[in-house]
Amino acid sequence: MTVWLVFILGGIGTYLIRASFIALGARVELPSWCRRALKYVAPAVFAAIVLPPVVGDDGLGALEVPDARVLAAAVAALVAYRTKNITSVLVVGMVTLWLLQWVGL
Amino acid sequence: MPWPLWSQNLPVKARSVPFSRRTWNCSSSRISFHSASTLIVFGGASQLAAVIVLDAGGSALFAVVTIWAVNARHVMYSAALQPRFRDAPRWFRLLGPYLLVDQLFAITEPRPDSDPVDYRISHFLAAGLAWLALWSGSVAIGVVVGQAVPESWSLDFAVPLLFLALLINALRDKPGLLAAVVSGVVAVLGREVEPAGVGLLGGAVCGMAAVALADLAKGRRAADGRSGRPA
Repeated sequence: MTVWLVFILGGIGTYLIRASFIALGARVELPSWCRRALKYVAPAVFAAIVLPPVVGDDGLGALEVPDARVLAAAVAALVAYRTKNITSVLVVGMVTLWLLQWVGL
Repeated sequence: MPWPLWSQNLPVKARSVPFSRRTWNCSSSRISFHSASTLIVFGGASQLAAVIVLDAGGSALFAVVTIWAVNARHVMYSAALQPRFRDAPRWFRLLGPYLLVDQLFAITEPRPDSDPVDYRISHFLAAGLAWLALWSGSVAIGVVVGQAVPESWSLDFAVPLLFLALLINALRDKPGLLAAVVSGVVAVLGREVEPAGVGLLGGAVCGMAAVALADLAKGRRAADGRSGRPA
């Protein structure tokens, strides 16, 4: 029962978080500096999602002595930059990781 | 790409969640539990984080706070899309945001400002509902086959890979690069802060603050340049 309560309360809060500004609609007017900063939500949030699991427990040190995950992510980033194709990024990234782990990195 | 399909973490961890331990041998109720919780929260990372908290013996309240903290970043999506949907009908402004996950934001945000409101609404709903169907179906499959996938396949790496593709696609100029670098570094430094999600949120806020500050400094330099010139 507790688990259900956790997910129901978590879900209500999540909905309110997502609804917040959109639900207010024309009743809010964000200042222009804020609207400009909000243009960079995507790179800011996505970078914060990507980097921690790529570097792992070593934190920023992993960037100095790259392990398989850091190298595979670097290769995948190059593919993303060149092709703009999500499937290629996933395939190349995973295969690179497997190869690097296979050679013992 | 729906990672619950591959991520063995969710079903495996959920084995030790009190509710599902009771029904462990009945796979259909595990599927309905995960499908129901997915439809209630619709935020994979937050559900996983909450299950990990409960699994480690954390309180239910802390699990709830964890879900909120992991999803708190979505307030920025809501704010970023507010100008575009300010004139949308009330039903949409109340119902649409339920679908507003990272992937939907990544798809809708780059749309040009010139899109008519009606098109914006149908685009948002079509992409969002398609994603909801794909995602919840994948969760149900993941509950069943997830455990058959060995951990050595490192399929959890597909999650950062997907977001890496979205990140590179979202990098269009220097301020974007600044936001990403600052945000990523802060998120790494704060990766162990509890509840989960706080480091991510802090990173993203710092990244955007860096852009705003750089803007301010640039504006001031431009102003100094003008006043320094002889009249």
